[in-house]
Amino acid sequence: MGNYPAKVKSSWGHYWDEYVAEKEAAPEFEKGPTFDPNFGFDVPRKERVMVATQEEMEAANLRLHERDYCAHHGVAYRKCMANNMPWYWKCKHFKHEWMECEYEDAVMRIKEYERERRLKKRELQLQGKDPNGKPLDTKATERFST
Amino acid sequence: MATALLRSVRRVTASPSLSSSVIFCRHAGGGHWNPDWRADPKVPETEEERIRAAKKYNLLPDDYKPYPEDSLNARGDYPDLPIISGSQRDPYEPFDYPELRRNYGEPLHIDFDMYTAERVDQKRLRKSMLYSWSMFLGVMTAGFLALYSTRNFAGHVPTLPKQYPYNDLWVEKGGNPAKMPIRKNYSFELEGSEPAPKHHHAH
Repeated sequence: MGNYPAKVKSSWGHYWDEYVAEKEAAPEFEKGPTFDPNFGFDVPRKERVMVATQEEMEAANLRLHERDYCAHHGVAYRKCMANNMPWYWKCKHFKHEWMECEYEDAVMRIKEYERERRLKKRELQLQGKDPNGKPLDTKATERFST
Repeated sequence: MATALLRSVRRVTASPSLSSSVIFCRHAGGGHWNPDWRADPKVPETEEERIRAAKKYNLLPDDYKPYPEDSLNARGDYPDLPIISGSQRDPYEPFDYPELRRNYGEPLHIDFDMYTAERVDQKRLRKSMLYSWSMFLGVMTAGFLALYSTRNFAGHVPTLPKQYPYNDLWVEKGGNPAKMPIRKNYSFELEGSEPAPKHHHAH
């Protein structure tokens, strides 16, 4: 999972959902999104924009887990450090930009998880099952489908 | 044995005939440097050697008993003395060193530093053995059960995997460029919309 920004705190509620309350609807957290990314959106979603090229990342000697959508911040930070060493604090702005970007990236991952969870729940409901995979009572299904 | 030994020690250090015991007391040839204070690695064999070693350690020859040479606990010619921890010694006795509860020239147990009054007391237990063992086993068992009962539950943050560009870093991860799959990642912004404002945090 690579470097995880410390600002994103772990929560405990999802354990209850995953292992007790909504076992069937729990997303497989080690796999990517399984649904059509544009499902449910009137307007298609923007593709994520990658700024740094592969050559830049290679030249900056970024580690594998750092070659993500925030890599251009990492490249800028490394460049600044190379130019300003040993006055490393001159690069704090670059570092904070980088960390901020990683934070946004992590929030996006949480949103993807939540989207996956809700879509799985919806699919189960359409099959007439509750989030634990047991058959729903028909009234609830009717109410949902109309 | 222990009290008899102490008595013999006291006799050596406090008897009038040896009132010059301060001078009498010399160790391993009167060393001035750490190796000089070491015990002789050779265990005395002849009676003459035994007497010499006993004298070196301020012991009566009858009380002198070295550690067995072929054991893991071999200590050369250092005497195998009974453990009398600081807490077991009389606090009102006028020791030469009251804080250590020992006298000058007194033969010391080889782990003497462990048995000073504030450290280990080999006779008195703060808690009973039953209490200590049940506490130890109880904590260990509870910890093991906590781990074992949750072995099938993965601990993780509620996120999907991190997204990587360039088809999930296919080339960087060692994939064949000719067989590169297309993998796209999407943001939560919609086509034609302004970029959402960033989160702001107090630094």
